[in-house]
Amino acid sequence: MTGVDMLAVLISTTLILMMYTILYRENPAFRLGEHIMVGSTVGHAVVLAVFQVRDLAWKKVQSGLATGDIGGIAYVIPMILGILLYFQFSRKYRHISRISLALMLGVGIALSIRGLLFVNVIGQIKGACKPLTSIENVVYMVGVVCVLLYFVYERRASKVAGPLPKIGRYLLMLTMGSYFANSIMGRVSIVIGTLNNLLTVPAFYLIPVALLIVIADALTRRRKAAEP
Amino acid sequence: MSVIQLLNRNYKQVIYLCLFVAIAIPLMKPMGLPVPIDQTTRDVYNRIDALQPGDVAVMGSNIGAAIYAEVYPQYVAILEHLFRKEGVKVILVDHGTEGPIFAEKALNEIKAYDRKTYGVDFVHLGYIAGGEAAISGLCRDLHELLEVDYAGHSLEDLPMMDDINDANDFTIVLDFTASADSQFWLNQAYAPYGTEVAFGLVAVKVPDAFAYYTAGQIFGIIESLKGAAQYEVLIGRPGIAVKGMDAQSLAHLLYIVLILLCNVVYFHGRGKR
Amino acid sequence: MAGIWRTAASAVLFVVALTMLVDFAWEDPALQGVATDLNNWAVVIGAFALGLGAYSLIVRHGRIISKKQTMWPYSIVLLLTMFAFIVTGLITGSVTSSEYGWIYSTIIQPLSSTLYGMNAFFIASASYRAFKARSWEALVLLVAAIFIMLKNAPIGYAINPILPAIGGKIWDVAGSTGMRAILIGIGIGTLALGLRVIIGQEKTPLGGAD
Repeated sequence: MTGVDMLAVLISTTLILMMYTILYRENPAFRLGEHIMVGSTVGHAVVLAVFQVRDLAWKKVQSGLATGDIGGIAYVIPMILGILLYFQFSRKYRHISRISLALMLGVGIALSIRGLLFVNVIGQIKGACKPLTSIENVVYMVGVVCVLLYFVYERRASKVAGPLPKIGRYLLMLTMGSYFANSIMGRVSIVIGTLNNLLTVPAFYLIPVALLIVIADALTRRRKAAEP
Repeated sequence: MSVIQLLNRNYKQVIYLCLFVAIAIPLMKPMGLPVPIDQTTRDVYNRIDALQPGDVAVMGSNIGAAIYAEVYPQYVAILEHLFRKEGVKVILVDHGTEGPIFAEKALNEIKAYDRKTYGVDFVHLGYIAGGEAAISGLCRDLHELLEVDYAGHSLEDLPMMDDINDANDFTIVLDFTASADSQFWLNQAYAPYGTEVAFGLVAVKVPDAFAYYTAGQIFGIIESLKGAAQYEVLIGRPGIAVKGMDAQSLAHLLYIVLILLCNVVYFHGRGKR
Repeated sequence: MAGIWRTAASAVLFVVALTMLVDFAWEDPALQGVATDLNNWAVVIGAFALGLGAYSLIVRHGRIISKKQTMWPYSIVLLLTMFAFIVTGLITGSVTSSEYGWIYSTIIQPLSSTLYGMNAFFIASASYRAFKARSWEALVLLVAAIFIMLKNAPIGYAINPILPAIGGKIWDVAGSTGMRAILIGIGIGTLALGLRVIIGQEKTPLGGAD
């Protein structure tokens, strides 16, 4: 392992252990790690923003000016609209940023409507309406109807719907249970990844150092609390 | 203060320590539990195995540091499988800001640049901002949206991109993400063009994706680290994901014990009252 | 003046959305070209939006540092880290360069993954303290979660194959009923909200009352 690699391992391990100290209590080490993370993530986004603007717009404008292509030169418009977005931060001229927002929103909403209509609504209804040739398909179709009725009626009684919304509620609890179980699986997987890096040499040797610091802090605080 | 009182007062730290031990010990000393294969993973494997020379596989990614442990092993396993297929063209595109870093890391991990020719067998288009609009732009007219790849090479200099213009030219799309981005590929590639789509997801997003799977809208799902482990077993390349399954098992057991303990204490207290 | 801009923004939203929707329904090369351009322009504006967070952070933490408010030394660290990444990225010219990759994997990766994984510990302590089956619905939720957890990890199969089989059945039922209904609900809800925004009934996305 080269010196640079060793330095990387030591820095990353220290940062990981700093973040884990929150499990002990709120402390300056965790705050420092938090602030470093926010700064680095935003810095990364800025770097990408610059490269994106260069590759998606500026290069097209340049080639448009060189060849006289109006379509390329027209990319000046979204560049200007992008700059106008920053007027959001001005109390006096905030309204100027709305044009940029409007264009983004208009495209976004149209794309969502186009997609969700066929994927979520029509596609899922088609998926629910399978041939009623097996008990499973009957149960699944009735189940979807029950849950949808629950969304409409919630806990209100209905002569038309009868007990179906209540059945839908229980089916929804099964769904929530699966979200919960999967949420646990996901978080544990992330911890597995982190510990996998932590439990390798030389990172491993920093763990007892961190533990000693935490124990020393706990004993000091206990002694201070015991003093009259 | 007695030990019981100390444990009761600091129960959180005790539980954290138990979880740490439950995950750390199997990582250091694996138990070797066999990894059963889900049908959702097997379907992805079978579809990729059935790809023919000339087919185009698009790997979309929104992998970030936060979900790296769950999704990156899936990404590497599938990339390895695609690179074993002779003549299959692979396009890597990122719709998350950290995507390009992990895409290049994965390509280097499977020694892609030594095994195949960049620009002929695979291309990395890099990150494209804009979320659904970016994916829509790719699917409508790729060359209208992008002129260069992630490294700044003109797409005109990359031979394989000559015949790839829009989603009609994509054979399959595999999206690796933690968020609603997976919906974008369904909306913009599957719905208008009928492109076959599969997801590699974090565990939390899998329940939503399962509804798409049972409706036949996606052809498979790689579910979190578990799915990555299953895929590693299928391609005969066990790695970090398989290693993590024992830790996952013990951790899940711990959670179940904690939930049962909580309810035993609760119902015991209720019975007394 | 603000009123004119608000009206103009609503008009732009309406025209852009309508153009994209009509393009979806009607095949016309000229319209397709316009829709593609609008799509790509939105992508470019999205790239500019990435910098909004940085601007906001600089203003906010700059104020904290200048007025020496609470935790101002941390604000210095935050801004220094941000500029370090920006300078490194712009000088190396690529986020996949070895120098940038080094600082990324040394700083962002461990911090981000540790922070997101922290929830595992908090859920564990909540499992012991808070996840009580106070009602029949809660009992159904917890029983379903337990069986699906046993399905999700190899330990379930190792204990007894019937356990993950039950978990699998619960998963199938949940996926084919509850999740499906949720997706239908999301689809209809998004459609309704989207149409309201397009026709100007819903003003909040564009800034609302001001």
